[in-house]
Amino acid sequence: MADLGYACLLMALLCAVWSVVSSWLGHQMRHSELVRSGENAALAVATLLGVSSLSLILSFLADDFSLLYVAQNSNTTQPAIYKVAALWGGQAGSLLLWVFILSVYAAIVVLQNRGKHRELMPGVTGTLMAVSCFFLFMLQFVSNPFEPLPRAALEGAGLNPLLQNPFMASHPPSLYLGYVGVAVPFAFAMAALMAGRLDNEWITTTRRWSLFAWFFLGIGILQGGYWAYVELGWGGYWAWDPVENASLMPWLTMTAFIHSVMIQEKKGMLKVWNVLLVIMTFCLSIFGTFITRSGVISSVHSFTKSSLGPWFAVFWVTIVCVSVMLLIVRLPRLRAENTIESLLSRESAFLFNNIIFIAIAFTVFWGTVYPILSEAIQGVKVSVGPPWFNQWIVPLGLSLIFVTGVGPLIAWRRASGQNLMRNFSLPIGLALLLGLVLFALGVRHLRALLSFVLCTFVLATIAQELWRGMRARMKTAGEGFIQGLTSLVLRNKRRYGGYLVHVGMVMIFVGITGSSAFQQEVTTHLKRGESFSIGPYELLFADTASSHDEHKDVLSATLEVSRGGQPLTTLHPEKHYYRAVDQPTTEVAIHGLFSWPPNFGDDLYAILVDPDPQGGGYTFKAYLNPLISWIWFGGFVVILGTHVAVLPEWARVPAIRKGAVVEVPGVVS
Amino acid sequence: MVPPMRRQRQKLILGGIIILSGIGALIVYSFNQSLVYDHSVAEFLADPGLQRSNCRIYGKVAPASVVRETGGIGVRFKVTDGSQSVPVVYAREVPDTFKEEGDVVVEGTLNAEGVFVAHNLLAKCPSKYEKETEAAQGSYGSAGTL
Repeated sequence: MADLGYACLLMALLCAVWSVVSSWLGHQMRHSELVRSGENAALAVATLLGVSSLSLILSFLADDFSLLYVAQNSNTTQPAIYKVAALWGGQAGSLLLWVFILSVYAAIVVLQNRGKHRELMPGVTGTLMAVSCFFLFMLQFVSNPFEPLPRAALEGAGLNPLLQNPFMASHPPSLYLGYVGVAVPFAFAMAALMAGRLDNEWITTTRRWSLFAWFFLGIGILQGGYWAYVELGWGGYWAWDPVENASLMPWLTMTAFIHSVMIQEKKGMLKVWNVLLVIMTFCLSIFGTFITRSGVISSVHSFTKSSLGPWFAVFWVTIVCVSVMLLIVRLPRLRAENTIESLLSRESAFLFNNIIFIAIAFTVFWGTVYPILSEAIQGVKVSVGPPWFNQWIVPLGLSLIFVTGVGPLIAWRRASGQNLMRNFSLPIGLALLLGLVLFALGVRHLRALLSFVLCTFVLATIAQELWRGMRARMKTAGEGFIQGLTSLVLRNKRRYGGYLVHVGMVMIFVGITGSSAFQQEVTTHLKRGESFSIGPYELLFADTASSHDEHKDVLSATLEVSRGGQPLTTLHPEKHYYRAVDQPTTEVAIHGLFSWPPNFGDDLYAILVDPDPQGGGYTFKAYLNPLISWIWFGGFVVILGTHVAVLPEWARVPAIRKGAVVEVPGVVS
Repeated sequence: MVPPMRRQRQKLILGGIIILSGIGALIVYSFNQSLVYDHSVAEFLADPGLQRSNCRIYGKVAPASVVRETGGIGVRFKVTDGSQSVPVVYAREVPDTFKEEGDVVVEGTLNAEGVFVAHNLLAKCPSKYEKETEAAQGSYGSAGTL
């Protein structure tokens, strides 16, 4: 099995090399047969890597401990689902998954564009396959998942119990779908630069790919946050940990890209900027892959020891140099067709949006990379805590919310006072009203107040837009309320899908604000029958129970929760002692969005810290996380909104197909 | 028509660069203000200046030194580099990853009794991804070439 997998890996490398060579030659010699051959080779790479990945999965399922990678990441008692998930539990397997996903994307791109974009395709295939070559080379010579052990092990080490969680199983593939997805718009941008075809073709062709990558990156980040929240037991979901930051950075630049391409499509501006953004995003996505997989985080010393690090560094520098050089060569062809006329215009709102996103990405980048560089170059270990990140990200985030409200409504070119009054007086009024109400209710946290006011402002602008559009449709087409709303949204899916994503993001902001500004925590030491309270909740420590299964001992506490004297629910925070690992794990008990009955207001989050053998008591810790459910709920709204935005054209309702303005793909500027 | 447009454009690019570099400079400046340096146990003991200010010490939890506060929350232990050690008191609950002979980083100040009062404690997560990775590299035995 493993031999087959390894052979496929080797053949995939050869095919990928051929694909790069023949695409290049075919393009240079204007030889379409060669270009086709390169495309076919890309299809072969995908097939071969499919077989290779499958054979590694089968080796996991068959407990083939003659393979080092299997022995490290699995054992016989591991549930089948985590045997499969062990594929991406370590370095070599996750590189295989990475390049497998890339090859599937390349195959889809090739099949989608068999008859289209003939000028761009050699560059696209060549770029995607060149990236594949790098990863296949690493898998072949540096980090081989099919590396045999000198003598087969009897039992494997197993996946870390912390990682044996459904979210941890789905979080890396989701992130990878995003990380790798960035490669497609990048490849089209490179192809456009190489072919000198710098109209909007590369952007409109890759619109769905960009959204796809952006979507999965975002979902992956959210899943990671949720996993940290329910699994790690410190009451939060985000710690500005380098691995988290690594996934956030490409998402930020991708978000900037998705916004600024609209300006290029509509006004023919920001062309250089868009190419730069897509290059940046791809570099950050490679950087993210590298940072999570090379061990550079735990210690810089493992970077020099790591066989992966230097190769990645070379690859990274190559990408930056080649793409920036191509961009400089093509600069004269990237002249803007319009210019910004006024600061009060949609163009400039989008520009501000971009500046803010880049500033956030830079902040995160600096805070992540500086400690690594400092240790590597000066040999001094430094750290910078979450307070520093928050000090910068919070004001930047607040201004971002503001621009989110302004951007979609302000007039193009130059907004008149009338336009501003018409669009913004109601939302501003509502937002200020909410601010006053909150203030009167006793909210004195300045940043939180500001955040809630700005969030209300955005929601009000969107509601106003929907209402106006709907009223117009109800009047002209004589449609009812629901029908009016549906046809309005379906008529311009991209726009209203975008609004929906904004609503979701605002909800996420509300959740972040509530849970970070108003979090409460209580640590207490209790004996059975004693109780403590946090916020509106009263928790009575009733009893403990212990149980065992084949892997672990479980200590479970029973906390009876009541609110205002009314019994509400029972929580069971637990401590698990896995026999294979010499450290306990904390199992959090949460009364929140996913408990029954669901709790949207304030999560009650309880952990059993430690039994105290001498004192005979137990230490508990509880957090009150106001509005945190809004983050997860907002995530669902973002998912929904993205789906609306990418709905294909045939999903239009037939009644309005006549006379509707058809979005022409590939509008040449 | 072209020259004023180009001038506009230049103004715009210039403005963008100024805004971005302004923000960048502020970020970098504040960064240096809030940077905390990590010191080994030996460095900490050798430098009286460090002992007066907030700092971070990294080392290992000394074997058989961990004492849990009875009837309360928190631990006392010694952080060691193998030869020298510093007594530490941490008044909050410790993470699951905290254990004797495990890696630890404590942030805090030295009190009058010579005990390091930590307000922050990180116990290195031994496993996130790196454990497997390092083991794998050990067995490959091939060092980097850069």
